[in-house]
Amino acid sequence: MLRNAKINALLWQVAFAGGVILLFAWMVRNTLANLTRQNVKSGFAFLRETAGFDFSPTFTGFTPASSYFDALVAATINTLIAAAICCVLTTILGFLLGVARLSQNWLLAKMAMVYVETLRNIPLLLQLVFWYFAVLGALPGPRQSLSFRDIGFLNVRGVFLPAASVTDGGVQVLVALLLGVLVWVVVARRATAHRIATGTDITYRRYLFPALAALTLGVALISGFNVDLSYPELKRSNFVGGMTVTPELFALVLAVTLYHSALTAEVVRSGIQSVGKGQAEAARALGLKPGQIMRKVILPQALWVITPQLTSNYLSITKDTSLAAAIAFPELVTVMTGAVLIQTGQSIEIIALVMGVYLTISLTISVFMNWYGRKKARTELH
Amino acid sequence: MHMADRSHAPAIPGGKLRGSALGWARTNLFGGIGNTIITLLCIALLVSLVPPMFNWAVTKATFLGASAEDCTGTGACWVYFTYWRKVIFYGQYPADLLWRPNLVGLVGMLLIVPVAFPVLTRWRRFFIVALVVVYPVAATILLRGGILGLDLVDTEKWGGLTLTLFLAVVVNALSLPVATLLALGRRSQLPLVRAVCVTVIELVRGVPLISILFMASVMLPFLFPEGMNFNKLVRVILLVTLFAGTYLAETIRGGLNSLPRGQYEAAQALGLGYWRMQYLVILPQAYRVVLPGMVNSFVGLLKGTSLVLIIGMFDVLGTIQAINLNPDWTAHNTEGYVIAAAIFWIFSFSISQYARWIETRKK
Repeated sequence: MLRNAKINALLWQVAFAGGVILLFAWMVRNTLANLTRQNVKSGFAFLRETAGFDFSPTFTGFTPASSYFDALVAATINTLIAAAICCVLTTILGFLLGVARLSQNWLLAKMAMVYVETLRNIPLLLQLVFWYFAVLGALPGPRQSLSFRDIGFLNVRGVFLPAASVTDGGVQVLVALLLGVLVWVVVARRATAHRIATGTDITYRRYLFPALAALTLGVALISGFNVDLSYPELKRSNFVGGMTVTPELFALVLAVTLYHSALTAEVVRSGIQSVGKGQAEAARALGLKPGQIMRKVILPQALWVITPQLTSNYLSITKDTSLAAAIAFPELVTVMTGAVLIQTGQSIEIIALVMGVYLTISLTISVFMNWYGRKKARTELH
Repeated sequence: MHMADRSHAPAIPGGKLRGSALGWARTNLFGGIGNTIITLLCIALLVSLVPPMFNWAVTKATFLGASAEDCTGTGACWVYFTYWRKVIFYGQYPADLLWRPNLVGLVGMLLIVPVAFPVLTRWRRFFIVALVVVYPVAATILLRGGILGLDLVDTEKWGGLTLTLFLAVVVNALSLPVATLLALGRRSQLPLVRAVCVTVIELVRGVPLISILFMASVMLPFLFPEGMNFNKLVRVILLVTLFAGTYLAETIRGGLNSLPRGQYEAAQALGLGYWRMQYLVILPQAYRVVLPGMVNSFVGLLKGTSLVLIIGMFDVLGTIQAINLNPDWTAHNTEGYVIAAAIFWIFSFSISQYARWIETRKK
């Protein structure tokens, strides 16, 4: 090859770029030819057409008269809500399991290990169809529902729970609560700074919390805050009122939570074990109780290691909600590659849209992880 | 000279019962109120879950029979497995040609032993190349037939465990070069190459596998000229290789990053060009470092192949789903899922235990 390294590099890149462009041009030419040959429309104009189908649950009031774009939005919101519920539940369960695996109690540690090792090695899709078809499908009909104290019901049509809706003064109370949290954060920071500077504590909690509670209650009374509770009732052979969780959503949340909590438990366990034994021993020598040791010494340090992997787990959870295509829960992939694709046939635009939405979510999470990594590099002591 | 006064010695944990089973139970299960409550709750949970499951699976189960009508008990109907085992293992593969998938499986297992375990170390490289390069090609030829006097078996007929393992092995083998190229490209000094590789990696990693599978089954036919039609299995292998390759590329990149710069500099001082340096010096070390990660990637791939049921292919899970649609067997769908779960669990657990074993060996 030529001796000059710079020209060499330039030539290689030109060749590489040329190859990539040729490949692209060939694929685009084929696509255009195939599209005209099969009489498939192209472009995103189809998004304004009427959808003509319906699905549930829907949090945006989607009706058959809405457009395909509304379907895209409603399905994305379904995905995000399902993912959010799963992330919260997985974090809680995963942390409990991770700590349980390291427990002194032999039985608890072994049971947690069996749980994690079993669920990690079975594909999530298999767990999902198992819960949906084998377990939820075997539930009794509405008339023979399993009930919890007659306010919650479980049957083959779903989970029926009481629902609360705020009729008056909701905004005011919300603003009061948010202001209260803001005040609490500011006061806590000032108190910590004061403690670090002078070594003495200010007792603020016994004055702050009652004051904020009184303030919120006052706002609630003045604005006429009212909450309506509606209970599910069996009318003929269906439940009316209250909140309905469809069996698809229930199975999806159940399967994803159980599977990913096993993965999260491993992340938490390795994070806790990465904190040196000396930390726990020093804390014990200082006289801290086991609960305090975990909360104030171990977990804050473990969180530096746990957070990146946990964030990547959250991303996996969001992408795994797409498996609901197997049980017809109307999230993004199911709706777009199901009803919309069948009715419009514009597969390229639809798949591009679906991938675009997921890419936006994952790039957002990547930005957060980069920021977190930089913050960790700045504040780490070693 | 007098005996040491032991009255102030610290108490031995477990007291006088230390060293016996009761002493162990006292420290580990009942040491303190909180622990005792936890132990009792765990026992309550086990007692409420395990006996009913055991009853269903063993005590009240039907093991022998010829068809669904023989399952009259209230327990599991394991006749499911005896009745459907050919389909679960081989799919729709013609019954008289089953020696071919069996041979492929046997040869695979024989090849894995010298690669995975430290035996026959002198021919290790030969076996690795045989397993990763020659075996997938030979397996495809043997399974499909059509040449060398073998009857043609269309890929539509492949199914069950044969399809699952075939997908996992072939995609894993093909994803290795793809991942290596992407990892090297991402670390390249050439800005254009690096930009393209980063884009490809981030793009493919940011979308769920299902959308890639839909792309393979629905969108890919548009990208090729008329008449150049690949069958569904080939399209799926193509795109899943890309998907697995991008995940593996990040693992390999971690390994490449961990190598000391001295290796590169020494290789360049010896006059090795870029590709020879990679082949002779860098990659062998990087592969050794990321081997556990690569094995875990294979396990993830094995579990991920179950997604092909959504685009209409019949791997183990897809076969079970299809069987469960049969009205005679719908009532026994749980047995089917348990069988599928057992198959996946055995493979997945053994392979990840192997990965753990490698890690401990290296230390």
